[in-house]
Amino acid sequence: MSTGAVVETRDLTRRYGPHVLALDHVNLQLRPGEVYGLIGPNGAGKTTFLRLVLGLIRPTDGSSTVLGSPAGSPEALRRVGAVVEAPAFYPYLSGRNNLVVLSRYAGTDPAQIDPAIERVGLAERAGDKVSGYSLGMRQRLGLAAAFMKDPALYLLDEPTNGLDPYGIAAMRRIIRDLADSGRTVLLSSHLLAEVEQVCDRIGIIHHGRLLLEQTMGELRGAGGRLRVVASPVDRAAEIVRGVAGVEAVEVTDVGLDVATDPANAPAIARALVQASVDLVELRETSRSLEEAFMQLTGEPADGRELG
Amino acid sequence: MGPLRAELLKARRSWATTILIVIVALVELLLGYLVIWLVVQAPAQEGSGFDEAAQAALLATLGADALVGNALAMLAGLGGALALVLGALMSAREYGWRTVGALLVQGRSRMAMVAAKVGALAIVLAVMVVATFLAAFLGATVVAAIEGNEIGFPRLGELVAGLGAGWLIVGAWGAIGLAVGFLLRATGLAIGLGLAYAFVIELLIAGLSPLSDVVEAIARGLIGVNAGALAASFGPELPPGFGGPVLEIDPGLATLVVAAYLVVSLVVATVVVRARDVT
Repeated sequence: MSTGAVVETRDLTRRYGPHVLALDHVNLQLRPGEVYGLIGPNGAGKTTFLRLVLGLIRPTDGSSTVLGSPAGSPEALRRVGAVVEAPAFYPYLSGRNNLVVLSRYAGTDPAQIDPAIERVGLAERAGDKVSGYSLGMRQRLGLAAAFMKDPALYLLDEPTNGLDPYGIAAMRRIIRDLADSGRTVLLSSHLLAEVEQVCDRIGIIHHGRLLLEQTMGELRGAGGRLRVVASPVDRAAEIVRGVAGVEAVEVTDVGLDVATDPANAPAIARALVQASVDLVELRETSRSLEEAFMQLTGEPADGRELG
Repeated sequence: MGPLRAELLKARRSWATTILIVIVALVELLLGYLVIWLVVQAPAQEGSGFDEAAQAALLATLGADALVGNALAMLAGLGGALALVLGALMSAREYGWRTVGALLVQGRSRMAMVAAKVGALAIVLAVMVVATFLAAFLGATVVAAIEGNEIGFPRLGELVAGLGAGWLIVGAWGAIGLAVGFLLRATGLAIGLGLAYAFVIELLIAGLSPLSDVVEAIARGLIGVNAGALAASFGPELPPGFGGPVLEIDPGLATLVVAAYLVVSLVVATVVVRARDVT
């Protein structure tokens, strides 16, 4: 029975040989019009997941549907625009002719080629051979190939690879515009900041398993925390630890990091004031994507970039 | 038709396609006509096997009525090998450039991609066959003009049959290249192994065939031997020492064997593409 999901996987599993379990019973649903971020370190299974959804590889177990059709079927693929890994093109052809080739395979209107090239800012170089393109230009050409089909679903694998800061900002705008116009975007990335800024919902994948699936709002609010800035800090920590509902108090460089339901904030404020502690700041703090990732995987993050 | 037009665009814009076709036509002109004509111009040596009769017989092979056989001899040899290269390029390069995935996510079946490549390869090889025949015609015409003979044309029926036979021969070699390219997914390896088979293994077995009945039986199943026999059935009769078919094989049977190589190669290519993951 159809659930209305744009992408739906059921126990999707993929093994490479007897020892490598690249994807382990992944159940995932993409809702219409959302930007879904699939994050995880390199080798977590993100690209394997995208290849399965595109039908480029077959599952060892489980199944998946895309826009109501079996994953990889021509019916599904006609409505999908995909940029998987570094976009691949024919180096001896111009950017425009590469799009002509893909357009003829897709059966799309060739009149869509030039607007797609304009949209990604490649008009001036469209006649040049792709062998002379930078990685960023190839990324943009890949996106243009997806635009030509005007698909209902975009599958974008590390779409900001090779882009300069302007290109990255433009890519974010494009992704949000796509979602605003009703398209669904599945964004795979190991760049947490990128995902945090554009996604409505995220899934954290690690060692082939989907560890967490939440909206960004749920993620930030999960495991509520309060920041308390008070003086003297040791006395403040002692008082706060005694407040009912407080799970943990950690003294940090800027004050206290309190693990508790944010609804306990008034009780904490009252206790501090009654104890004659100077209360400077008391506010709810949100959990970052990086913190969530660290908690779930225990993987060290390199700055805000994984892998 | 969309995928076929896409494959034709790629083939047309690739220098490899143009260069390989030009090479076959040029070699036909140079080796098939110029070199033979220069040999004919050399003084006859009585008692050496290359006497005036042999010279006259050799010169006769440069006439218009021998054009079809000359062109087919080139297509059965160098043409077949370069058709194999074209086929391997058409399939294996997609993996080297990782473009096969980009094609397959456009909403066509894997069968459609293979069919488009087969169609494009067939058209490219048809151009190769026509170019070779045109080169042979040019060679025959120039020789006729130099020798003061009347410029002639092959009989239409023979020409059509020859074009068809040539297309079948290079088509079978091209299909082998396509299948090997899909199997190995590495351009250099596919071309290297294909050429090693064509120029080393086949020639070695064919060369040893007079020495053993078993080896001869094997040789009678080889594509090169059958392609050579099919080409030779169109003539011309060469003087002793100037080549000819390795084994006498009925042209109908040779046609069937070459066609079998074509069909089996296409089946292998299709099965491999359908069954394999694209990683």
